[in-house]
Amino acid sequence: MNYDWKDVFRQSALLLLLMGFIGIIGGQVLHQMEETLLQFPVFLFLLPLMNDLGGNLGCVLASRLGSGFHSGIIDAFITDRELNENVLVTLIMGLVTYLSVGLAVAASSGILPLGPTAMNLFIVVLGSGIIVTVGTALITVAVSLISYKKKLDPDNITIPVLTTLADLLSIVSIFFMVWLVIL
Amino acid sequence: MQKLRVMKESLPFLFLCAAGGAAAGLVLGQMEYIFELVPGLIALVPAMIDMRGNIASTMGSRLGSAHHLGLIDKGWRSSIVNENIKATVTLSLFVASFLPLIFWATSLLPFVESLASFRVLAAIYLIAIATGLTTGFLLSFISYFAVILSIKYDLDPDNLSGPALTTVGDVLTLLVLFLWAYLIGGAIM
Repeated sequence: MNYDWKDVFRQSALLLLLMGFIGIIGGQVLHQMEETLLQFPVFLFLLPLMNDLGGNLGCVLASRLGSGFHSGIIDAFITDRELNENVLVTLIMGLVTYLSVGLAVAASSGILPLGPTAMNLFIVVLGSGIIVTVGTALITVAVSLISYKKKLDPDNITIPVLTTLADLLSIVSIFFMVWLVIL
Repeated sequence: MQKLRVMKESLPFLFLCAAGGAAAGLVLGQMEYIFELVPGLIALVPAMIDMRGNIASTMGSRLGSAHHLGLIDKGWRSSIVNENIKATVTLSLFVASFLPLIFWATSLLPFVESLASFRVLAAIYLIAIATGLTTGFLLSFISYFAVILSIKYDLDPDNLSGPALTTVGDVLTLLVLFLWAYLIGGAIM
């Protein structure tokens, strides 16, 4: 194995730019809701948290699926039982995590002046958490199956694609839930 | 598949990352003033954060593979480490210089609130490049040490460095972005 920085650059640059483009679209959504965000800074606070969680859930699932496909434990078909169990575990973990984060945020609104009521905060976190978890799981399965069939390296392709899409999804779902519950 | 085992190993880690995300959120919450100073800067935040994570964690995973093949035993003097640092810094600078252009192009779309002045764009451009260069250097060293440290403590760098780097990358990128936006924004705006 020989890493020449020019090779690494050539292989990554285009994908990174494409992901940057998707990231900027997420950013433009944020830009549009800037006034709401500045009015309730608690959502500014929630944003990186929700982004990270969505991305991490997806990455854990993607790594497990990737190893499973390569070792033959999981068949690369949407109906495979092992694949479905992995998805189920991801959904449960997502639910547990977002439930805890929602409770923590709602509880801290008793101490800190966050703006929206504890109940509304909890609904926003849990609601967008459910959207993000289900969405990320679906995206992960799709990206993993496609990249496995196209023989792409999951280290270089799947995870960047996944984290970027999960981020975009978290921004849109927080915006959606805020619009639904508070505005 | 042992469902319980996966949860037992992953859940504590997810909570740890949630704490990291909360730290990043605290920084972002303090940036209100900066977002008012440099309107539109907020649109760069998700892309900047993602890039840092993506560039640094792919470096971590390359170094991890190199370690498994016994190629980075010489530490700093290994050519693989050097090439990877060069690649990370170049990629950071390259992406950072394109992001403001993509931002500007998408601002021209009809349903997006139009962008203010040339001065704002110039400020955003300088902030993006300064942040890209700073975090490119910082994170390539952090990636290197994350891999070296996990080897030292007998942990598999493949399991540890990626997630750790994305979370550290988030917090660090926001802090650096905050600093440059404060300095450049304060000077130009």
